[in-house]
Amino acid sequence: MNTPVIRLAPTLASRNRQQLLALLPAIAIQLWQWGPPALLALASASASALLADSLGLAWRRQAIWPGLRQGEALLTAVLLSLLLPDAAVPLLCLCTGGAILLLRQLFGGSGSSLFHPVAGGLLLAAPWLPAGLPHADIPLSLALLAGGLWLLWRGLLRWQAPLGLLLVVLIALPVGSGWLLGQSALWLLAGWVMSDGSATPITPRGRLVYGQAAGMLCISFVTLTTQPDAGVTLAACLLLLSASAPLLDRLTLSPGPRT
Amino acid sequence: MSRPSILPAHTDPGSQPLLTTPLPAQLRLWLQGASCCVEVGQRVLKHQLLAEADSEFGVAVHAPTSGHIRAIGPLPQALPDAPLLDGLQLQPDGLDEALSLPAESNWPALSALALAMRLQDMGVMGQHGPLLPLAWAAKASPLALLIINAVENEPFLQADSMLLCEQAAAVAEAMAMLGRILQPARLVLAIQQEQGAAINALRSLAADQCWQLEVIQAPYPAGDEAQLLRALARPEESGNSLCLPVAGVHAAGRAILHGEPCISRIVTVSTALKQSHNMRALLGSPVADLLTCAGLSSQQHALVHGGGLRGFALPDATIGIHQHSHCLLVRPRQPALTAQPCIRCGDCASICPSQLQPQELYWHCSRQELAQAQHWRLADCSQCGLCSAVCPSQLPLLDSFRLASQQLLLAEQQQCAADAARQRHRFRQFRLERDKQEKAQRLAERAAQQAAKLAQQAAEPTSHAEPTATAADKQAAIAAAMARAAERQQQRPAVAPSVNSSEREAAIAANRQAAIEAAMARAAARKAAQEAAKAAAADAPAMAKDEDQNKPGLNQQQQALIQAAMHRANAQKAAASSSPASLDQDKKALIAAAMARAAARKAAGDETEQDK
Ligand code: SF4
Ligand code: SF4
Repeated sequence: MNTPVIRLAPTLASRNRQQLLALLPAIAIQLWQWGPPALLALASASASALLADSLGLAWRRQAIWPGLRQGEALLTAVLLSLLLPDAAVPLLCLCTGGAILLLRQLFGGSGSSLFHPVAGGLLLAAPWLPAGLPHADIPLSLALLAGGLWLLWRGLLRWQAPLGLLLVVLIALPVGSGWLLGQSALWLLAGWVMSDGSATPITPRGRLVYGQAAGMLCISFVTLTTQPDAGVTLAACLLLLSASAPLLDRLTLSPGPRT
Repeated sequence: MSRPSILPAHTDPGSQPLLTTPLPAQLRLWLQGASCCVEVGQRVLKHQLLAEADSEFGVAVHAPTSGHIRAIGPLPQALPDAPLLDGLQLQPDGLDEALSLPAESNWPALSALALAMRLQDMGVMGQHGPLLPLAWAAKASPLALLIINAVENEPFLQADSMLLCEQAAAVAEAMAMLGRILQPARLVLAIQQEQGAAINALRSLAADQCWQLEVIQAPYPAGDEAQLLRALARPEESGNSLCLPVAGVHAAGRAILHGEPCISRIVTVSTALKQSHNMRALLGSPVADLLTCAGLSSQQHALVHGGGLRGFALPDATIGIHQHSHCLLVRPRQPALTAQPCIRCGDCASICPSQLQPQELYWHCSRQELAQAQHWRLADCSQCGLCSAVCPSQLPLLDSFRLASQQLLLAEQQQCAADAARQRHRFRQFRLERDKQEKAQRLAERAAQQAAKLAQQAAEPTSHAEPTATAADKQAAIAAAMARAAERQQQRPAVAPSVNSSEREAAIAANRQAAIEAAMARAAARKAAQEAAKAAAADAPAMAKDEDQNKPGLNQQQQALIQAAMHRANAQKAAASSSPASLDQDKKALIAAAMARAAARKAAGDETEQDK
């Protein structure tokens, strides 16, 4: 097969690298807040993710290095360790590896996974998380927002779903959704998980609907139940809605008018 | 992600000169919808006809230089995954001896159909097949809008800009010629805003042109026929407008105004966006020769045929260039990339200018589900390559679409083999129609000449011409009818011309035989006609006296003519049955029949003239 002579957009590997790059400020802030243990958590989560990914690739009889090189496993590990700053290292490693094996490799690799491994991993870890209202983490949120905006500027953020979510959160401000905006988990899930293509509808319209539905579900859960953790709630909503993504695709995707 | 910002801008050829490639050691020419009319080993001269079109979509092939035909047979094509195609190998002898070129002096009298066929015979190609589609030309509906497409906005392409910079006047001449014959209500030359040098070259021409310059600003696939028509045609014009590539128009100008068949084209050889050479190369020159001319070697590089988005890899450098080889890219060899699975990012769908869903299309095309692919509008894909260029997973989207379209096309062709016969029949009718038009013109001219001559000679006018004239008319009609019958007999077996070399030789031998026999028949016919004319002239005074007396004379004439016609028909039938039918033979028979008819008509005409 032929290589296109001109590439007009970054490849998957460079896309994932840039997504990691956009997380650097957030990583720096977390290291500053939590100190060396955070570094240890990050390193072990990454190792576990890479291991799980290579295992999965070997099991599916795929070339390991080209698969790992895409950097998706690493991105998953970094996202999870940012989402679970206070989890024990073994728990973090377990849910990272488990999510990658169960939700990515079992479904047949990146692109075909119906559920996003990060959202899945967060949910896996939820039962063991310390209860109690997580405090708002304004610096981290701001760092994530900056990273997201950078991605947007680079044209790497598929912005429809995050926009739908934010719109709903903003509209629901009178109901008392304001505290959500201080949660770093919201920004992480919005900018790095909801913008992923495989677990969301593919058309712009479908994505907008998906984001709005996720926002509404999340806010109703948070306000109507006693579940205090916005991140876990949102992850659950995302997983729930991912199951409906194929349906949304069916509804919004058409061959278009014949000419 | 908007297209204009991410596509590299068009680069002008700048001040670089147009190179001319040295004569290659071998030329490889493809025969596309054309049947060969030379033999292996034969020496041919520059501009000599090597193959003539045998279908509505083929074009003739002419010798780019003088030399010997070395082989006739299947050659690899410069097309991805395309089957071998029949071709010719010509070994130049370095003398470059050319046939003299008869320029068409009364081209303004050509009809649209005659122009289209003349261009086909001159090997001038458009987007698909002959520059002017024959079916369109035969309809001869008034043309509302004629677009000459000089838009060049795919990265790396420069050939059209170069052509305009070098030959602006010739292009303008050609456009004026087309405007004169086709009579479009509006004649537009479309060009991209970035082609500054070409625009300047055009603007420097005299202001009183019959065409307008339209400067296009839209991004990349705007130069596609469909997009251009959408952009430039007013609603009322959209039904009957035509879009022609500027290179073809230039070649058409050379062909019609100077009688020069299309044997070369401008090719851009490019290593990087700012590093390119433009050269005029003979059709059929091996790619390697072009690279050498640009100072590159074909060994260490990967070759791409075409521009930056539509180009495809060329398997080897011995392939000859053809009329659509506008660009050759020379790239450093890279390891084959491993495509990742589709991550459903949707970037391909958001960039697709035809609003398709390339990811769905790819899913079906890569699984050979062609019916589903058609449902996802494979037919509307303009194969612009933008989706491949943005796909983060580097999936070979364009390649799979191209392959699937090719398969569909092939299936279509196989499905209606009967269609081919119809095709050929239709094609022959175009020819016959044109021949009829031309013959009528020629006869009218000849009649006028003869009338003038006879008016000088006319010394003994007789008044009782009517009966003889009608009798002569009748004879001519009979002869013509018989000739037509012979013709029809000729046409029937000519359904499937074969390309097998031994059969071809047999056909050529049979042709010669047929030609000799036809010539003999012609001579006999002419003699008979002359005798008949003489007899008629002798009879005329007698006839005036006694009507009954001229019956035997008439019978004699009639018999002579009938005999001649039957002899002719027999000779042709023998020729036809002696070999599998070939088109040449047909044509020769047609020509013979036409000449016999003309002779008969002339005889009749002479008679009437003399009788007057
Ligand atoms: S190649 Fe076809 S599918 Fe791809 S962007 Fe162009 S028109 Fe759309
Ligand atoms: S651009 Fe490539 S990866 Fe993205 S949806 Fe299209 S085919 Fe899939």
